[in-house]
Amino acid sequence: MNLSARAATPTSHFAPMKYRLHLGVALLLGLLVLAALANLLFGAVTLSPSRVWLALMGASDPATADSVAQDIVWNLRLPRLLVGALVGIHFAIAGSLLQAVMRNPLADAGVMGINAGASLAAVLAFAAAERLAGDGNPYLRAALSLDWLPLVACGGGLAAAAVVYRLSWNRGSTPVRLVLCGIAVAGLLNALATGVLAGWAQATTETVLAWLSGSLYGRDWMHLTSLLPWTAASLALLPLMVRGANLLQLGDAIAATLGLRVEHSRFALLLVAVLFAASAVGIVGPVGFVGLIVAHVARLMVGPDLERQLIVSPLLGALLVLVSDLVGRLVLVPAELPIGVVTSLLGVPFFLVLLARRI
Amino acid sequence: MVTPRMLPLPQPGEPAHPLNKGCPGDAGAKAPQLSARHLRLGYADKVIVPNMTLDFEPARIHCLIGPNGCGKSTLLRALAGLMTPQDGEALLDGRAVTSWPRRRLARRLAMLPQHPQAPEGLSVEQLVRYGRFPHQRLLAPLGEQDHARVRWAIRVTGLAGYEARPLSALSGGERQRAWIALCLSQQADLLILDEPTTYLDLGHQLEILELLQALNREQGLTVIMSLHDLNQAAWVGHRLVAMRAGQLIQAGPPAEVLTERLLADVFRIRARIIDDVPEAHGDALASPSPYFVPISSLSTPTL
Repeated sequence: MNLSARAATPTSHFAPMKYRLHLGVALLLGLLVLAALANLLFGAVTLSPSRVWLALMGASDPATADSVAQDIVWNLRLPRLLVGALVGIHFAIAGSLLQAVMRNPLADAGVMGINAGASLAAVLAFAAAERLAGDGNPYLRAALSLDWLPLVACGGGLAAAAVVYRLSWNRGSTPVRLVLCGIAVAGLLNALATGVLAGWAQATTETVLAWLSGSLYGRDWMHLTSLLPWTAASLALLPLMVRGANLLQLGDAIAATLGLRVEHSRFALLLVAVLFAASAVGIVGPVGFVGLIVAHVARLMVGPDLERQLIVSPLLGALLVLVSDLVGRLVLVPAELPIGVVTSLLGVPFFLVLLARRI
Repeated sequence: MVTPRMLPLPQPGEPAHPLNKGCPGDAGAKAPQLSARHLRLGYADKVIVPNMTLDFEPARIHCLIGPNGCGKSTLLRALAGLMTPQDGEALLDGRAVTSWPRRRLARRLAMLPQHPQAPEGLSVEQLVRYGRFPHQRLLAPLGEQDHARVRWAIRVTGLAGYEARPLSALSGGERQRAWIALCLSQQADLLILDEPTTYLDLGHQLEILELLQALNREQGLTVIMSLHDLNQAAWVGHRLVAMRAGQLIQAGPPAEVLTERLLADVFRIRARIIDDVPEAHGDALASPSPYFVPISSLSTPTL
């Protein structure tokens, strides 16, 4: 057997993979544009493409301006669309990172206790607002709870994740202990949230339930601007640690002998993932399945390498949230199905089909 | 003797050994000095290796032998800086491995643990590229030298043409070679392997050992590994390190270590040493003859 002859065989096997990545990105971008357009056109009121176009461009003559369309596009659909896409990106990146760090294909933001922590904090905030404001002033109550909710819920999610990390620490952390502690903490916090909801907050139960099922209803520019700094900060940190996430997938021992400071890297990755997820949960509530599904699809598309996955998964996340929101707005017109319900209804069967096809 | 599938025999008149061909940047590396000094290793109150003092010779193959649970893996982990000793230290070039910056240590020392796990779908080339991590600057992509080293590692492990294959689609022997390729692309001069031949059939076991032997001979790679097969250990190793219950029983050339008394002592077996040629490994590719034949276990079964 001649070694040099073997070495001379063409090694262009990687081309299909790269091709696949480019093709996938192009396809996803196309779908994303379509989904965004559909989100602008359809809803409780269907707008014609020309009205949307004129509204987006802004009419030069106030006399001919279509103020209804402008209002719908600029104040309702566009901010909602952008918040939805951004939230999808957040959940997707968090999901991909967490699955890599935990070495567990079932991991997502829920496993770090983020959703449960945010839920409990939100329920407590509603209950406290009710106590503070009393029944006499519903506006104050609403303002107290809604304006502060993103911050409170995000804080709850971060606190829960910190508790999970601390509990799993025993002279070092391991993915298995993290997952187990996460499930335990999430169970406890969810039980507490349900308990508080059942026993304390009566008048606002409906509002709280709407938030708890995850919703993009009424999300506006303010939500977008409060989310963007998180996105920017997390995205700036991400490139510094993607390689670490790749190595962690090989196991702690190999990652360490390859020169990675395993605990530092794992902590940093968890922190970024938690920041992405908790900030998004604060805005839309505990939307399930987005991170989980998207991370899987991204892995099926481009393989386990995170540098590739993180190109695809944000697009997938935005797409999933936009489509889910569109579906949620259309099936029960004029009422809405909360996006958390839709992602579960759309995502779970999709997920099962995916798994069945692979096995 | 199994025909070596990946390493051609050195042909007479061949200018350079194929292992060295196209191997970038190895010149001038200082021979690594690894040693254990009064090493006490364990987990919590359970001491596994009470007190180990041992020197490893540069550019030599060392085989750790001993019964299951005697602390071989623990010792290897400590040598690789993967666990903090309870007392004493493992020194690389006079400095405790646990105090080396991890990336710098990774440029000197590579380790392959016993059951490495790769994420599903990872290809051979992707895996081997990860070996360049300790040489990469933050945010900088792989350079031409990195790619050359990756190609070299894939080639010498006989995996050329397998670059795009996922690890899960490889046979056991090929997969093990892919992991060794990862260690080789790391460009360390010291390689620690924990039972690299476990679960492989005899042909693939010899393939792995011959690969390590050739790397040692051609590249001056220092190898420290645990092996279960004593004949293979004696055949491939320049030095054997016999351990029992965390204690060093004996370390030295195979002919000195592999004695009937030691086998009775360490493995509780009666065995006959048949062919005790001290320099049998001098010509590494010469047909190896078994060193010992087991006769019976010394611990009688109680029914």
